[in-house]
Amino acid sequence: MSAVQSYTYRYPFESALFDTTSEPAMRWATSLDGTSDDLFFDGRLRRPALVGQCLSLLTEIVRTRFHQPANPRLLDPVVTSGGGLLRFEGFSSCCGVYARLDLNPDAFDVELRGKGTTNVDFNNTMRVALRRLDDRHEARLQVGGTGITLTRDGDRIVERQVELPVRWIKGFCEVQAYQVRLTPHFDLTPLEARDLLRTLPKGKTARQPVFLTRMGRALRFAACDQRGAVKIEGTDRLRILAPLVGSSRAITVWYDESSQTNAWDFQFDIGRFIALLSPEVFRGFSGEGQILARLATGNWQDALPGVVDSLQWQSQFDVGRLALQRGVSESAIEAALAVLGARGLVGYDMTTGKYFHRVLPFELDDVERQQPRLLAARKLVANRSVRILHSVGDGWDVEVAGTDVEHFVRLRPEGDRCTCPWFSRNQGQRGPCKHVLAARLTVEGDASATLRELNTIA
Amino acid sequence: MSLDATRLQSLLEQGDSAGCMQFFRGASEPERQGVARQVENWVTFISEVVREENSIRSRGTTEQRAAAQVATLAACSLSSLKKLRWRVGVKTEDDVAVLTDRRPAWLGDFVDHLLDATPPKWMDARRLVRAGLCPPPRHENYVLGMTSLMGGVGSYASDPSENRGRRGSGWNILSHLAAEPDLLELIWRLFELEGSGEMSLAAHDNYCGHTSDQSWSDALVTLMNQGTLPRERLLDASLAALERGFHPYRANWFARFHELLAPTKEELFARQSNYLRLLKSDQAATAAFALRALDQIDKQQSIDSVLLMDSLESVPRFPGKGLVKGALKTLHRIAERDPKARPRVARLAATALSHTAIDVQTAAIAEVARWGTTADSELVNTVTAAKTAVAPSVQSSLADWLASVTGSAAVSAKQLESETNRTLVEISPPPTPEFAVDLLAAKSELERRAKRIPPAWRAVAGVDQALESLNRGDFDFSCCTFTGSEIPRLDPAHRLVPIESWDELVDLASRLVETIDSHDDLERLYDGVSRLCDLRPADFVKRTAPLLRRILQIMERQLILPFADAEPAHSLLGVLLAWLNGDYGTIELRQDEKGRIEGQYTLGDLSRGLYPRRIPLIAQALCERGHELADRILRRCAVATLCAPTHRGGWIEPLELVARASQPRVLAEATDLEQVLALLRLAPEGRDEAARQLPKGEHPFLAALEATLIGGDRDLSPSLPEWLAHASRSARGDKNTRVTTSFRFQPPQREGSALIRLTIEPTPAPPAENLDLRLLPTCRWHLHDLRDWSDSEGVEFVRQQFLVHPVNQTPTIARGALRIATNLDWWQVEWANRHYLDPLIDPDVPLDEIGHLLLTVGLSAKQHGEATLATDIAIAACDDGRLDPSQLGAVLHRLLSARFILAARVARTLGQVARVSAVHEECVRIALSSSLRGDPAAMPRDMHALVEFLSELVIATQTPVDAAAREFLKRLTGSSKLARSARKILAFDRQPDPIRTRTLQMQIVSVRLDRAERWLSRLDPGSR
Repeated sequence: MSAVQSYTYRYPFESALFDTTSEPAMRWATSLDGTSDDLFFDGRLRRPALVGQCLSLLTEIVRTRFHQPANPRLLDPVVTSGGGLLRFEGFSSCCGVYARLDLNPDAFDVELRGKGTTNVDFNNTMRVALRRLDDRHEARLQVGGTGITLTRDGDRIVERQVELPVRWIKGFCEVQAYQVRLTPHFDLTPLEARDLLRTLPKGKTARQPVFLTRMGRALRFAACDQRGAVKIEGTDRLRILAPLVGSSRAITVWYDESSQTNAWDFQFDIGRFIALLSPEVFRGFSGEGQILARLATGNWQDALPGVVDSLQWQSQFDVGRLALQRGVSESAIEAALAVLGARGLVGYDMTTGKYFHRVLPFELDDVERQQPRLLAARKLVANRSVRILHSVGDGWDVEVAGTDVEHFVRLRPEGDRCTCPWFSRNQGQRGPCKHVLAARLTVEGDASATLRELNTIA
Repeated sequence: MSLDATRLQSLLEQGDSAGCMQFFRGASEPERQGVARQVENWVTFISEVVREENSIRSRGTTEQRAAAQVATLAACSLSSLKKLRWRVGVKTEDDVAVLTDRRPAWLGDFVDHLLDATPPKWMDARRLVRAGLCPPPRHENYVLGMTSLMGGVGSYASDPSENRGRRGSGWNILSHLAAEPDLLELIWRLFELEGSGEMSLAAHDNYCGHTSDQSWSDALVTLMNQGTLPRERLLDASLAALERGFHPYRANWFARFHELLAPTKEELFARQSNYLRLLKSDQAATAAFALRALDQIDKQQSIDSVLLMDSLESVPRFPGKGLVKGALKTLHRIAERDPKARPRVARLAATALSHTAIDVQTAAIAEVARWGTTADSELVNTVTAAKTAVAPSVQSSLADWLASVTGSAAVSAKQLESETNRTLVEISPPPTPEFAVDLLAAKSELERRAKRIPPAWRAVAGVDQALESLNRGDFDFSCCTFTGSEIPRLDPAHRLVPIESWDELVDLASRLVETIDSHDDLERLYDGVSRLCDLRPADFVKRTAPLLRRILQIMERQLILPFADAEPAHSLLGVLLAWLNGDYGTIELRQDEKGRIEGQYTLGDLSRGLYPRRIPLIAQALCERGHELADRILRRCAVATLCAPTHRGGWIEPLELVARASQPRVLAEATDLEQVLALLRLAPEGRDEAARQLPKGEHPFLAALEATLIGGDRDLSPSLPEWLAHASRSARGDKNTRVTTSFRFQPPQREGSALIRLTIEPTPAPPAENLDLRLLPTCRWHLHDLRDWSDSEGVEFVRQQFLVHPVNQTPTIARGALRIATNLDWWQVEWANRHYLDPLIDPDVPLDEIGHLLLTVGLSAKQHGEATLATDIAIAACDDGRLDPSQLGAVLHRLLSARFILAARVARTLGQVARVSAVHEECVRIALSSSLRGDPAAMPRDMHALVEFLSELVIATQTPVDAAAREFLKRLTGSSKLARSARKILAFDRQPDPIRTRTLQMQIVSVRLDRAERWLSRLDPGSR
């Protein structure tokens, strides 16, 4: 099974900065994948330096492997336009950090705003250009367009072959499941954040966990856990955000105690920059398997068609209204949206607590085909390796064949358990093991057919 | 027609490279592919590592490997070559010749594959390019590989001469570039690519560039001087590289290189806009570089003030004070020459007020006062916002400046600049004083709470003493003086639930086999296995097969072998194997010719060699306990363990222990060590009731238990449990007791001795002035001696020690103090050491002299985790009244005067403690004040950091230092930072504010009441 998906970004030209008579203009090429309008966005930046800083940081994150530093991969962030917002999303090359820049209408004087999602070419020249933006000069931003002639290269198509790791794409789907569970824990002033980030450990010590906690009048990274503390591992991933502190209005720290995922939300006048950090530095969001159970089975199947019909590049889904319109419960709509998130068809914005529509410009069928645990579970079911022993209250005892041994799976409302090493090691923190999935598939049925239909609709 | 496989095999075995080349010459692709698999298998075979008596080598000879290399390149497809990974390269001219003859279509991809390797095979790729077999690849590593330490330009590996590697061979970067001038074009790409790890200009010059002929920067300057590389382009390229946002480590090389080129005045002027952009960099070093360049320009020909101030805007956010002070100087220069720029200079200077360095704050407020006007509303707001961030010593200057604002008019920045439309602004009101509380009401509430607590508990918790001080209007920061053995330790919320079912047992065992994340759970597991080991359901083998398989996997892959080491994981596997497998294997130890001990572990077909290491005595004892448990399980003797804790932290409830001791079978099966542990783990509360229920009997343990429960001096028989029962009661007293016993498990290198000594004896306290590290753990009663030392310790090993004798953690704490102290500068990686600090976070573990010692070495440790945990403990101990500032000061004095710790590190960690609250601030002030004793000349050179910090505390707390500290400070004369700070402290002679003193004392009373109430709630959960 290939761990990379050979993917060709096809750009109509190379992104570049060029000076017109009055102002520098950045023209970003978008990939020709049919998920977006042609000329995507055209506007004048109101805070060029800040936008430049945020975008350089985003590209820096996308090019970094925090777990095992190595040569950066040539990955480009994904941009979504819709509902008045321009969103840039990306993952670090190790998939342990999800970063998103939301630019609100105050960020631009807009002349043209298209809708859709696509990759943006962030080449070396563009990264340097972003760093050079300053507020003394106006700057114009154009995203997309095919009929543009550049003085240098004409209008040739620029193709860039990228070995896109499947985990990078899977991360986009997995991260939605985490965002839903995050709640705000701390609000920091820029000064507090600045002092705090300066105390972060460096080097190998950065891999040790620290706990953000308030002690008296001081906010600090403690070495031991305390009630209400936010656990952070791999603090190099946090220190990289320090340049944003000076420009931000406020910083909110979000945390989910059960998964130990944390998010840092830097708020500006023109939008926000969000960085979501995985629980441990060696754990990318892609391998977590939080969506597996949902992909395999679930009660969302009735609500799904209605939700899919309503996808119109909204920047926020109104779940209540949709539930009323479709005559289903809000929880069913939420579950359906979660599944769509897992399929790359919607994103989740934790700051508003709502989903937004975007279609990831990747081959998502391949992604699902490369969910190893789900595939293995289906194989176990197909091979008749699952045997239901008996029901216990609201649960079931199931026997699933493993390598040379039979694993004993207990399906219970309070949490499933298995005797395999994966489960013993992770205790369900990183999604169900293949044996639990196989047992669930056998007991509750497989939702793969519905998902295949969903692909066709999407 | 096919190639002769037999002849090929013969050539390969002979190691005949020339024959192989001849064999493949002119062969077609299908013919080559016909023997490809054979060659592939041969290469894999001869590359295998074989172990001989005294060495490890690959199976094939050098000649065989060379011939195989030729054959591989001649026969295999690209995918096969990729599969063979490190085994294949283009090492010799023969390899190049064979590819020249073959000229495969995939050669370009093969070169990319060579460059993709870690580390990239740059030399191999270069050989192919040099031979003209492929064009220069576009791969980044083809450029970056030039800087490779192992095989890049000018490296020893690339030397083609026979003198390779010899001194004076003359091979270096310049000679390499001269020999291969086509590489010169690639040099410009080195300014565009960042590189990583060991492949960058910075890494090369850092590790290899110690001599001028080996450094890239010197080589490039030489090439420039020779006229080979244009100077202008080098200057521009280095500046462009700095704008690419490389990692500071790599970016700094370009800044240094640019400065090495020593740009002239004209060259600097021409690049002024680049420097201005670089001054806005996110990286301090780049900004500092740009500021240096701009200062040079500005001093010769003034730069436009607006442009310069635009670029300086972001500088105050950098943490380094040198850069920010430099920026303030530049701003000062701008203001002096350009009156219009003054308002903005003041505003920019004001942003530096929130810098953490006091020097910077002082310089910033001076600029604000000089150039700012109180009519500037933006400036006033910035200064007001910085009020909470500035140091106490700067606050008066800041307040003075702000005071001049009151009543005056202020205008917005833009208005000021245009000098029109003046408007009034609101000045923020001063913050409410921290101590402005209703003192009387609060005091009555404290007294009311105190009355509800029994006098005995009030006394132990120090409530009465603190209340008396409050009534007198004094401030008493002495710590609570409980020992931990007189207070209730059993928290009902921390009761451990014994394992009842077989499923639960398997689940817990499966989890702990992966990682021992809780020693309480490990104890639960041992107890569960011990009680349930005779339960054998019909599907026992089937249900436990996954766990057993996993255990065997771990043994094989991670070399964790039962009872082969002191780490708890080894014992755990042994116990589980005894339960699941009915056999935990055997270890045979033998001595080799050189006297080294080797061992062989055997279990069925599994056989592994092992090398026993020195392990601490206590670990051997705990390992032995697992061994004994495993033996009992092998006999299927299902019985409760006498020493199983009933509460978290290793505690056993006395009544529960009595209940266990009442079962003759439990007593009969309990080993000596289990009896010892049971007594050591006994909780202090409920002993009287337990003593009443204690059965009568002949077993020595019952007598020992009675002695432990009732106490008093008794004439005990010399059995181990009895001795330890006696010792555990007197561990904190002054009795001199020696306990010796024997255990089975002993490595034979101890010359037949079968003794493990658990020694409890007093040893001399370390001398006050000359600290001898070896004496660190022996300040008080201890269970370990200095021979009890191991090379490295795992986290689990450290944690398990805390469960041995919960009421007396001092021996383990002493051990931790020694281990952290001997690795204070983190000269070797010892991640587990910080866990020795763990028990001190518990508010019921007293901080005695050894505790303060461990805390102090932790506070001065270089390693971030150790220092942060020690800071957490200091904050918590100050909060709950365990920290004695005078004692902390005394330990600090001892370590500082021995120059054992760095004052700056302590100042930093204690600074974090002081930030928490006014009580913490006061506590740190007293500790620092108490540390200033004796001869200042004996103190470390960075003592100014500590004294400067103390001077800020004195101003912040409005409380002077004590007389002894004043004497110390008076001896500091001169104009050094240290002396200046000392004078600042001495100048402060005001009396403490009585309201503040009372408020702080009330907080202390409140904390002590909290403690007493918590103890009460343990005895009577409904009391709270």
